[in-house]
Amino acid sequence: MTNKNKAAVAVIGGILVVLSVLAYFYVDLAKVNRERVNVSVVVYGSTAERWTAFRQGAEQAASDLDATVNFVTMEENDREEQERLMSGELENGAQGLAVALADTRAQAAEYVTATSGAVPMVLVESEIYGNASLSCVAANAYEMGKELARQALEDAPEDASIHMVWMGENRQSQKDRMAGFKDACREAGRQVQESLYPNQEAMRQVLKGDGTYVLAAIDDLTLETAVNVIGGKQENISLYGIGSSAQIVYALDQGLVKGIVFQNEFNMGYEAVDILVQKIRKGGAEEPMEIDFHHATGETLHEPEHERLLYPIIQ
Amino acid sequence: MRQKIKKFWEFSKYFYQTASISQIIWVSFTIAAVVSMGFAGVLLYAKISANTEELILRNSIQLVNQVSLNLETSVRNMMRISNSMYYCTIKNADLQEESLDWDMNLLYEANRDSLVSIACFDADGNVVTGMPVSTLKEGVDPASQSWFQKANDKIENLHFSTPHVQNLFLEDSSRYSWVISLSRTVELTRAGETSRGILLVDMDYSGIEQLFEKVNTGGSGYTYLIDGSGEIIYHPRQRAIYANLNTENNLVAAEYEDGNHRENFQGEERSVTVKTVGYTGWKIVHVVPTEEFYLNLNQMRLFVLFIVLFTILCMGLLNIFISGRIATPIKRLEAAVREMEEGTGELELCEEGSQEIRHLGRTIYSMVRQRQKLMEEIVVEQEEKRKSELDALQSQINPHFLYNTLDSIVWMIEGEQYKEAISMVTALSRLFRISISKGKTIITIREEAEHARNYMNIQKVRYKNRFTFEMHMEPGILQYSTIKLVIQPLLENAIYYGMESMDGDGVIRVCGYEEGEDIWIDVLDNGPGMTPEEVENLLVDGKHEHKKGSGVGLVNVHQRIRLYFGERYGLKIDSEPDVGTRVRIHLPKSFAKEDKRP
Repeated sequence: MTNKNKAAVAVIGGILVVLSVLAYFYVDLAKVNRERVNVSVVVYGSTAERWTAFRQGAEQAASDLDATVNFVTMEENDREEQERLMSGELENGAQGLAVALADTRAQAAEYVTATSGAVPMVLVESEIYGNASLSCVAANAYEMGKELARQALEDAPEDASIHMVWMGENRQSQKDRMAGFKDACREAGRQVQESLYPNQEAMRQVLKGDGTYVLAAIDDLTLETAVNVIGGKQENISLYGIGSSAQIVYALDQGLVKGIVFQNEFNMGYEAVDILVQKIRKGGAEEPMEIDFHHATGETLHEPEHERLLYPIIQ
Repeated sequence: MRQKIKKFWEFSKYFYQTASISQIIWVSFTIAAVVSMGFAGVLLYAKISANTEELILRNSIQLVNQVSLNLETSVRNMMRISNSMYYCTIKNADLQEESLDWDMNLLYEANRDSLVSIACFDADGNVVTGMPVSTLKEGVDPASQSWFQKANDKIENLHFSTPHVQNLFLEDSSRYSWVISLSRTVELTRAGETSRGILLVDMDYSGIEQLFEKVNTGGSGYTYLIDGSGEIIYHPRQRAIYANLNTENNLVAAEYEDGNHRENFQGEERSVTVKTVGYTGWKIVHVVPTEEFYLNLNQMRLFVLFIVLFTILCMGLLNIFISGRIATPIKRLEAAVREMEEGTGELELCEEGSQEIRHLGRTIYSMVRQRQKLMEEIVVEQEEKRKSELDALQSQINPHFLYNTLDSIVWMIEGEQYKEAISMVTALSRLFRISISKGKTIITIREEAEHARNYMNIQKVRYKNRFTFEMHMEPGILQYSTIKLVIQPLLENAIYYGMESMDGDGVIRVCGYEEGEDIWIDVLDNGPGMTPEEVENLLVDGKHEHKKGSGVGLVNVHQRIRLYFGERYGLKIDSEPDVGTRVRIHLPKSFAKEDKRP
């Protein structure tokens, strides 16, 4: 064999080897290998039922984005427990956290602020007081408060006592909602009482009078508590609130609650996981994502667009 | 284009004329392999891609048909319930006298897995009877609901609604049900009077959901369900669509006929298979983004490309070996023949390669051997002939010279000139010794010069010093070779034709010298000389007559030199009447070769 032929054999042999290696790894190369991402969602509130639509959205996003989502609710609904849960999730391999904080005061959220430097994190529904650096997926709480006021005042008699009620939780979204509610009342020339009811009994004591009340509950828990306190339809009490849990929707359907303002929980869950996964895969911070909100009354509850949002199809 | 083809053709011709046999074999085989494998690869890919697409479409149709079958079963079941309730119970009952509860309850209990509720309403929307509950929610007006109105508008038909939350009866918990309502008008009889009523069967939506979930687990594409106007009844991403996170081309799909369609939705090419479900006008739509099967096809294309490349390279490798195996023996044979042509090598018998090449090698070897043998025979023959000619020429020594010389010796002895006689005999002896030269034809110039000197010594005695003789040879030329007896005949001619008339003032001179690669030996005399015409004829054989002398004349010497050394050598004659003659012997610088007589 001439030297030229030997060189040709060596070159062809080399190409064959390269081709063989490529062919061997071909299956792996041909696959669109997107690494699966593990994320955890830790939410306030002691029941998962409140977060049904949110959870569906989060799971839909996880399915679309090749992610695994672990959904965690709390038992005690306090800051320490939430920190413990977050820490546990990170230890269990969560690559990012979406958190609906039980307490968004700066001091209370120190753990989240500190952890967010090391782990991608997205806040849900409420920002931390005075710290807008963390991505947050939420509806415009201030506007929701205003919308709630518009609903509550629409049919409120002149002599009705307007109470804005809440149960003393410390979330920024509650503060914003209350600010919006108060501003709207002030614009409408109506007095509003800001009433803190730490428990059902306190609320019951106030509402047992004979006066006409318009109650506006600032969040799900307060509205559910008010429903439980009132028990049944009372002519002198008009109950409104922000929330969309099954109990609230049922109460609206039964006429116990006259109107609700609710955020698009499915979208909130979807966007939270979407942003979180993007952060994990691509890094960098995301702009805060504003979610749409809606309002419904007993009359409009069964309109198709409201049914689709308030009665989750379990898929 | 034509220019390019022509250029390519010229290049191919040039290549085939200049390339080696192994290159031609390799290139030809490899081109054949590339073309055939490329063709096979394209065909394979085309066939596979067509089959893949066909397979996916067939699978889509199969899947849609299967879903349609299952869905129609559910729908028929609902219709059967509705028909049973109407034709077996309502139509035969007088509501004044009997209740529908028992029969309705029975029917409900028998189908409660798929039913949420069943109820009958009068024309104003009042509940006649209902299962499992019959108490309407406060503020609910069934007559204002769309299922009621549609049934009322087209009384002959059964009407299927889109999914909605059932909003009729009092529930004691926050439980709710998504249902699909099947409504129809019925004829109610009360105290013999007939009136219109509406029968409502609420089918549990989860039944449809489960049916579609099964076909949407994995695989390529997804399947959804729409009603005749394009409203989504089921979609695997229904909530996302409701939340405006996704969109679907459902309104366009509602216009499609049953079968396969191609559509472009939001920049994505999709294959859509549509099947209409009987009785309802619903449409099952199976969507496969073409990217999905093109992804498979891309993988297949890559795979086919790998195989084709792999095969071509393997064949290229094989071609190198095969072309080497075929061409190497031929090249060796060709090299050996070339070496033999150039005279630098011996042809060896070819014992490699295929049977044909070995046969060719043997044949060439045999031919070359035969040719060599013939050549040798010719050379020997020619040599013999040449020697015979030389012998013949050299044997032309004039016997008169011998006779006269011997006579002179006799005369010297009689005159008691013993010393001169001895000298002459010695000279004659040397003359003959060199003439014989042990049978050699080629002697050195030194020997030839000595021979000439001996001859002249004899002749000087005979001619009683009628002339003088001088010889001057450059020492450098003495070692070179010449054929013998070239100077002596010229001296003989110079004596006989130039000196006879001289009376002691004749001069004969011999000068030997070299010029470049040539040797010149000039024989000069100052005899009567010759005219140019005489000189011209002198070296032409048969055109002159020699009067006396040894007989070995100029023509003889000229022919012998040319016969042995080649045409450019020989004699050159310059002569002028009354001045003298110069005969120039032109020889090459060569050394004596073995030249033995046989």
